[in-house]
Amino acid sequence: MPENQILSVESLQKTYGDVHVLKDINVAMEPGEFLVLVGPSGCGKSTLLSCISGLTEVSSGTIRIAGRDCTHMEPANRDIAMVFQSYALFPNMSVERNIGFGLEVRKVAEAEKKAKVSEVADLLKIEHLLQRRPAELSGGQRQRVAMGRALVRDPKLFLFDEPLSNLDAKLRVTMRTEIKRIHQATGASIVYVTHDQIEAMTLATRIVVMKDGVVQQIGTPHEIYNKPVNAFVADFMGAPSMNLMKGKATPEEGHIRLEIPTPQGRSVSLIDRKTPSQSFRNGPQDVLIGLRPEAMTDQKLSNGSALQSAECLLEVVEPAGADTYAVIHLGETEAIARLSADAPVQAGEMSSITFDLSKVSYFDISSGNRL
Amino acid sequence: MRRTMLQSVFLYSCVVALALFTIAPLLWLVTMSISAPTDLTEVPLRWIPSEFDFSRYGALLNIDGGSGERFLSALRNSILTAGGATVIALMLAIPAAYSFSRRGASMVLLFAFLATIMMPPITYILPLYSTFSAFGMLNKTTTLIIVYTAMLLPFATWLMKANIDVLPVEVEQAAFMEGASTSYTIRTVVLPLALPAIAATAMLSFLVAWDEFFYALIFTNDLSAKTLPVAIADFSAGRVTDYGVIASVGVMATLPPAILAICFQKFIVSGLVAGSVKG
Repeated sequence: MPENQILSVESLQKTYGDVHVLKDINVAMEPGEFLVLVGPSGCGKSTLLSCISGLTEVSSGTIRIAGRDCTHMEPANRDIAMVFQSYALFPNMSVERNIGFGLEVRKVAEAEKKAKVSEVADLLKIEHLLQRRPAELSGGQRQRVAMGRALVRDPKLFLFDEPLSNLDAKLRVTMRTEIKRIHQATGASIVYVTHDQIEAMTLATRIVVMKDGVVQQIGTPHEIYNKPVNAFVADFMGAPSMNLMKGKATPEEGHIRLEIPTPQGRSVSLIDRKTPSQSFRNGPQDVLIGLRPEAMTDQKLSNGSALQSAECLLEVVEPAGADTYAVIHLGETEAIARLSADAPVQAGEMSSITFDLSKVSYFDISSGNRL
Repeated sequence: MRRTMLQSVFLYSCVVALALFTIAPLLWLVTMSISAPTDLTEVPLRWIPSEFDFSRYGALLNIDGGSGERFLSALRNSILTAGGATVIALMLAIPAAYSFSRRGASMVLLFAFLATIMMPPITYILPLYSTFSAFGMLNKTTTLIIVYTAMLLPFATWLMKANIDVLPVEVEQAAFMEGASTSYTIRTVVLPLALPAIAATAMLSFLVAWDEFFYALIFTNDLSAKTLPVAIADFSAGRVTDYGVIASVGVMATLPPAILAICFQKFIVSGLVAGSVKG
């Protein structure tokens, strides 16, 4: 194991009786990384965080923080800080004492403690709240205090457990930016749990997508978004999610011919101008064709571009302000196309849809794995 | 929702009936304590005393008089035993309750504790009496404190456990994460949050010990250790029973728990956890 890793989780298993919550988790991160654990509820992401924090005892495997084996160490000795979903502020103490609690425990001199608390309060813009009790704060302010308590000690690793899920939608966006700003300002190493894939995409330097206690994919937001390893990741990340259409892929000389059936009995025929990979050597096969909504547009074709178009029936048209989403029945699923806001389209009409196959993904129809 | 006239009448009659039911005996006790002795023996009973006679209170508060000495030493013993037992029981019950609630201490143990208070006191009297007698500890306030502590402990532990169970566990986890030890966390985080529960437990424990009669009757025999319930019984044991005196002692005996309840009332308010978790 390289010495400079701030966190390394090796072959981690966690079982509660017969329930296998975490199955052979292997994750490592470099200092300064913002690692986001994301997945649907019950995927084990919070349990993994809890194991890293030491609040949950692992069943087997190793956890190293900054090179030290912390697998069976008390949370207090791991040199980490955690921001809880419920904030978990001490209601009987002022904001100042809440933030300085970790320093108080470590018997840091009063003057130094005060200086550090005010430095953090300044960073989080909560200096004017220092004498208040948590009950007198709004949700966003409590969130800032909880982050302040974590930041003030300058620990090796920060753990965030769904910190924004108790805030309203607007505040969530503001605080998301705030967290990103703090990460950029401090260069802290952060492990962040969320079920919100947009939070994951916007905050992370790397994302860990989990499902049923198994890591599905680890990669940069760009990799996760553009090259999902399986249909689950493709579907989970992105909003609206990737269209997974059943169709037939036929490898031909230098390109792949795609046939996507429509309910009208015809099929949409497209050409993917990439050399067929090894997965297609066995001739024509049924596959899941993954196209993001932004790859299905009303863009006009220009000569020589990689774009191609097909006439499709728009079943539902949903104007969303900046874009208009159109539901098209394609490949036994309801595919969503992302049209421009002022596209002159109406539900129930045929319209020409432009397909951009430069970022198409193929998945095995039974296993869901990327081809 | 607005009530109809009939509903209001029904509701308020229930309130009046309940109030009468609970207050009437107390009122009668106070009336008895200030009635002339002749009023109390009249047939039919005289509900409103012919004259107000506060002399019994004066006598009870006079340390030099016979009944005053008996009352005041019993009051002192009661405060010492009930207060002492409550304080010791709480000091032991809080860490015990924390272990049961948060550290997975065996529930079997807790139920075994509780089983001890299911047994009637009479079953313990004989072994306890012979033990204390062998150590020469009969008729001592300390002895009663030991017995009462044992009696209060299971109950106080149970009550505290139920109250610690509902405190948000993340707040403690946050303290551990910040590097605090268990005892530091209990002192600075758990106890302040559990203050209403502690006040309630203390009050209930104090009342149980204050009212205890049986052990006190058996283990004490003179002014140096007798508690109020036993002393009250003594006042009625003479050949001539003055109901007025007994009533006065009864009124005076209710005062310390009543004062305690008023003092603790401000602690027993909900909402101390507010602002800790969620919004």
